[in-house]
Amino acid sequence: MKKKNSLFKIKLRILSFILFVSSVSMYGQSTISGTVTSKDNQQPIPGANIIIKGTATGAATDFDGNYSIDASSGDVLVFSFLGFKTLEKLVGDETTINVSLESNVELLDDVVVIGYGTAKKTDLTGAVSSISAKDFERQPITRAEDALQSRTAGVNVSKNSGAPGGEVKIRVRGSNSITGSNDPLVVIDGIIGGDLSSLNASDIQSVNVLKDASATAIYGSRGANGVVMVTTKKGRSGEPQINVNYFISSSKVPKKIDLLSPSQFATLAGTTVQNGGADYQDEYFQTALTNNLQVSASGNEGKINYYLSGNLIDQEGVILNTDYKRYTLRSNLNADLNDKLSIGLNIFGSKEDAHNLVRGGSGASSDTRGGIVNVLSFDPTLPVRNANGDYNLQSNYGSILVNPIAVQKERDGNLVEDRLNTNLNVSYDISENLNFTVLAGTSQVHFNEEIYEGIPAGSSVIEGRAAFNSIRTNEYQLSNILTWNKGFGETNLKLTGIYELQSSTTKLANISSQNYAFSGLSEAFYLLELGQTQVIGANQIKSSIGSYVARAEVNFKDNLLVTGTIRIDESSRFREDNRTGYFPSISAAYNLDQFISDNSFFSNIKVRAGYGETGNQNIPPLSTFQSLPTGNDFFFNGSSLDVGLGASGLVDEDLTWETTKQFNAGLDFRMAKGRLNLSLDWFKKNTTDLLLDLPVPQFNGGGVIRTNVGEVQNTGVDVSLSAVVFDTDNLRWDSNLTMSFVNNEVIDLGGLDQILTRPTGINPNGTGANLYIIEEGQPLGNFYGFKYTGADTNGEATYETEQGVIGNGIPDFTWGLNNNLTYKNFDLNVLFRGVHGFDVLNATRGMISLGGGDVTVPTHIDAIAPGNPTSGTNHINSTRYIEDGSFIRLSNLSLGYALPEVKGLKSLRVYLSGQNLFTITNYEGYDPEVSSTGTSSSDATSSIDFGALPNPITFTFGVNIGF
Amino acid sequence: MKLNILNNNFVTRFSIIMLSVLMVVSCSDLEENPAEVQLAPESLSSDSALEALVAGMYRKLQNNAQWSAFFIAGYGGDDISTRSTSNKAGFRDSDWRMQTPSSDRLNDAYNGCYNAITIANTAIAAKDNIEGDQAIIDRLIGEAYFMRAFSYFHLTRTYGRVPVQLVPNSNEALTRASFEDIYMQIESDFHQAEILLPDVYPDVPAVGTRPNKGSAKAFLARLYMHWAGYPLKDTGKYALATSKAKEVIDNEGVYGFGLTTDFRAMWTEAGRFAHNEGVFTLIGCTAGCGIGNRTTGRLGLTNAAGGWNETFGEIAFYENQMAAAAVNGTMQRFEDTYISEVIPRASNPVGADFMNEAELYNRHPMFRKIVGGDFAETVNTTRNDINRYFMRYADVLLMYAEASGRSGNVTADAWEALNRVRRRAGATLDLTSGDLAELAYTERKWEFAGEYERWHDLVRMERVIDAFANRSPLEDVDVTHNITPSTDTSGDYFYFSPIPQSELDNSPQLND
Repeated sequence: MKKKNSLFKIKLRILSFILFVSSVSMYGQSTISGTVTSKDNQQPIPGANIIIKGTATGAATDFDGNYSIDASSGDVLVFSFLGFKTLEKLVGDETTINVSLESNVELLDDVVVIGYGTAKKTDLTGAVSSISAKDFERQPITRAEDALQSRTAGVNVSKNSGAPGGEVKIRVRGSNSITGSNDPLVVIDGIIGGDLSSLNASDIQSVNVLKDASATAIYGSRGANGVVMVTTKKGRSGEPQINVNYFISSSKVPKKIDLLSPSQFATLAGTTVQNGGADYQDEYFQTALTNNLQVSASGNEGKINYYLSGNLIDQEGVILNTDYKRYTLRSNLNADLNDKLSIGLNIFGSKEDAHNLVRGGSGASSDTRGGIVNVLSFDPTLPVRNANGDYNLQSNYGSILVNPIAVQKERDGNLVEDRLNTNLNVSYDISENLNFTVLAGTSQVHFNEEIYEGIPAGSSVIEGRAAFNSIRTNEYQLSNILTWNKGFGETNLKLTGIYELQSSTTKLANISSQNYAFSGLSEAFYLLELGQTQVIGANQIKSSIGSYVARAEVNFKDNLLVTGTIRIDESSRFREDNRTGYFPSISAAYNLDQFISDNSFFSNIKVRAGYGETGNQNIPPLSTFQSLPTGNDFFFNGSSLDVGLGASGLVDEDLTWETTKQFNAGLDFRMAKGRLNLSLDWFKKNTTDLLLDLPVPQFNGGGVIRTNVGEVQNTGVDVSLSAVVFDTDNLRWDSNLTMSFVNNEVIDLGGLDQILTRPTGINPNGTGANLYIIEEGQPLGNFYGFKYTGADTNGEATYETEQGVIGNGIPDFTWGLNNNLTYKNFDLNVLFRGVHGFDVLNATRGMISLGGGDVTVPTHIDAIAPGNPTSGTNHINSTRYIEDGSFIRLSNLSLGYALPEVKGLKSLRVYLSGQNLFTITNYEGYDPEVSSTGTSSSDATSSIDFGALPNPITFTFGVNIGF
Repeated sequence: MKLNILNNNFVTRFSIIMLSVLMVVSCSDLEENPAEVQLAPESLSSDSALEALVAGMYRKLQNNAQWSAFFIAGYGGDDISTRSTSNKAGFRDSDWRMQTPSSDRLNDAYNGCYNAITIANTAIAAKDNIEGDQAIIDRLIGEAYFMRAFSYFHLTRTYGRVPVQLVPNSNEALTRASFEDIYMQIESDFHQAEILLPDVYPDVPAVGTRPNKGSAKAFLARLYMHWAGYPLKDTGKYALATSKAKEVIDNEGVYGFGLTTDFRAMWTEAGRFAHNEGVFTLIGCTAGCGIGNRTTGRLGLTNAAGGWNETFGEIAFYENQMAAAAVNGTMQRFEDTYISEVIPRASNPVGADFMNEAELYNRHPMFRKIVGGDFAETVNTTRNDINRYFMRYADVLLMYAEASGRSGNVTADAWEALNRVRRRAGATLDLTSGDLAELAYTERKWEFAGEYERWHDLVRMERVIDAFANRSPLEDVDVTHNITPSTDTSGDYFYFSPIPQSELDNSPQLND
């Protein structure tokens, strides 16, 4: 191999010599001029560099992309601009050379952000998925998570709810923890614990997802669920650039559920239709408009570069009286004070205002039985209002709950979150090889919740109630990063040492009030003092973590790359003896290019392998301390409350980290001269000492005890394939396929045979039945219930007596196929995604298919279909309501057109787009993707549709303007 | 140039050290300070903290006892029925004694009692560490013993053999205790309460809203009535029941108990504190606190009256009571027990004419004790401040009469106890002869109709089958679920309800 390598070098030297000889032999300078344009949109490129190869002579294009340079025939002009492929042109006799530069996604992506530094993509030893702005800029997106969805192998992004501002569930390589959080760590510009929902998606330069432990171990106790690294934009060199992006979109629910007509229902219930009845789906859902405006200005003035942006989103929800507004401002400034010292300051402010968002969007009503289930089951023979114009609040037939339209219309809930993130970055080159960087960040979040329910949800008509909650969170992070980088001949060594401190303090106060002295109040959350029943509370939640990190990266001749890291974390959440965790990792990559010829079909072959350990400390502070709970007041005099305390719950004082050990092996290669890029990763990760909430029997006080027991294993494969399908002068088609396979298994439950559970607050029909089972040897997310055996001759629903596993709610295969086509001035983006191998418990359908519980008379069209039961127990957790949730969805279809020349504008693109235009699925509900359980720790109880809010179908028209 | 670099190096290094030192100082505190935001268990060291814990004990009980399902066993009685539809199936399962561990409505009695027990255990375990006024401490600890005994008694009357946990902070996998052990534990706790509780509980709005010494004695009498009957059938306990009831009656003035003259007003909000018949009473606070009784009000009405179909009377029982009232001259009590007049809701049905309703499911007698003694107050409510009586003084009188009869100790005082209750009900002729025990037993049937007590009388005397045989053929049958009442006394859950499935899931050893 050595021989071949040196032979190649000799060839190079000969070539250079010939070039040199030929260049000196030429003579006769003349002025060459021309225009540099972008091949993508034929727009001029200002600020492009032109140099004569092998010299220091150069020029730059002006505002209109024009240049002129003195060169001699035989010179080679090198045209370059950031983000474009460098082009070389041999000067002949001509005096005009116009060139069209091809954009180069690869170049931009070449550098990957890893924890506390960057690495060349080719030097990566771990498993990292990367996307850049280019990958999602042709999809109109309102939030950062949309950018990640389906574009990153091994990262499953599911939109749990169609509510604007609702929570999005991100899972990196499956679910580790049974009761702890499985949310990945979000790091924005180096600051740990960022928030994706408030981010302006067009501020994002790149997102890198660290997947395997060798990449995430640098984040130690917070790295077990993967790390999402977001880098925001910086000013680019060249002319100032002003961009205005605007779109307007219209959304609606994907379908209607087939219900009995008012007259069919009247017949079944033995009642009559009043005044035509009502279609409660039509009453409840609306066509929702979204306006989104993003403005940014960026540029570079001398030693200062800047990126300034603003964003305004005004988004209606598909449910009546719901909307979401977000305003953001960002200023990213960087200054090179001298050739050693640079300083950067990123300031980001946002305000989010979610109107009538409930439980992060996992339901539509403050009563989990209410919302969509109530809409579908409310008596259709009863109009929303009676002849007097008053609400028909309750019915003796159908749902026993209060009229959902009245509840929704009379609700005024404002969830306002103000956020200010400040992030200072000082970098000093102590010597050529040594750099010291200090990163200091603060995040100040003030969350205010004001809710007035004029007609509270529930099964009784009660007086209005209001609440006012104020939550203030201050977070600080200080990272000191020392990097030493030195080449030793063909070997390069990079050492990084970090000392970091982070602390978080949340202070909150909450007040709720009911039984108002006066009626007719509207914003009663400002008049809580008029309520005759008041509940108050205050709390403080503090945590801090101190860390030491070391990393060594060795590069032997670009062939063998080895990275080793260790992080030592000390967390305040655990007692002193269990506080310190050690999280090591080691990984290596080997380039096989030297074994293959330059003309080989395969190229850039790299094999990678790594092992690392990460932790999860994600439990609430003070989890190891017992306390006497408050909020148990009692009224000994029958008219006012006396302070009451409860008994301490059980705690495990020896609680410590949940540890995830992950092994990863990967292979990257290119084919067909780089037109096909394939990346394959196999992983096996075992999470031990699970932070598990074991149920405590009621006779011992009930509730749960959180302890470290058990083990969960995830194995899987991530595949990422990108291809240039076509690349001709006019047509270019890039295609990117990602696939993720995950297999989850509970290895050990610490001696327990099984844990039966149901999501907090989800109790269809009030039976208190457990809906999920966790068992050794089985995956998480198993549904537990009855096997439905049909209706007997009397029309009675029958079941097998023994309950058991009836399905599984966690997908085992997900994929995304993203296509970008450009033809002349047209561009087309088509994004398909698929999620397979999981079931959904359609409790929504269950509730309305057979009477019983909270629905006295069923409303579903199936209720009168022959063969379906008309009596008997309606077990919601039965195979009757388990459905295959697998789906394939056209996530995005966008067609854009760049207008060739518009006076005064650098660029102008208009586009039409549609999201979720169709979904291929056998699921009978609105949307198989949504779930009624929250996003952070719902993995043992996933995919239950109990009135879940569907993701809408959206049509968008937008315009992108560049000045 | 070279010098410059050196200087810069020095400055930077110095800065690093300084910064690090600063950070270590500012942020090194990794010790959590729970006392800052929460109450440590050790803070339970004063009489005022104990007072708050006892308040929490009541609240935990009330959280579940505010619901009808807390009295799930009582639906088995021949006095109470429900409707088979909708979310009332759990009540129907109990009414017809065909519960399974997965039946609805089994959790409230179970959780409410054990939640109260957990706090009682905490209080009792802390009793030696509490400083303060010894009289206050004794009273509160006495109350904890009382509540623990009350809760285990409610548990065993509902679920039969249950696990007995007496200490806090234990996660032992307990098994079901024997009836003997459970009864002895309850007896021991009521004895402690009897010793520690004062004769008169201070600062209560009415006697019985918190237990006094007399309440503890009265519950001991009830315990012995059960001990003498099914399942242990230790008939020697009737004598103890007699003497304990007698202790209460002889000191009724000391404890403040008495029979009220206005029977109906006991189930009104206005009259809730205007009598002294409560031996142990759960009160509400709807107006002041938004928390109240959810076993009364609209849920006692039929569909025709726009009701919730939760708690009805049974037809045969209603007819028998009307006939007996006519004979005994106790029509006033009958009228106070059931609704006879027009109900001002929905189709405004007439209570007494329920059998004329067109729909079978509307043919139920409706309890005034459930809907409310005064319609105007509560007919539209699903939460109100009608009292829920765990025991009334009339119960003590009738237990005394019955136990005297069953222990062969019939006295004039025992007859008088029976006659006091009958006279209050409207009877003008005293009884002085006959089978005192059976007369008192029957009197209990009418006196406590609709108060969830009849079922327990049927169980202790093993007369469930007889009562079921008396069910009216006109009673609404469950066409929806195509099921009929159980009559199999050997059935697993005939006398006692099953422990809820969710608890069996956590503790499979309870299946044995």
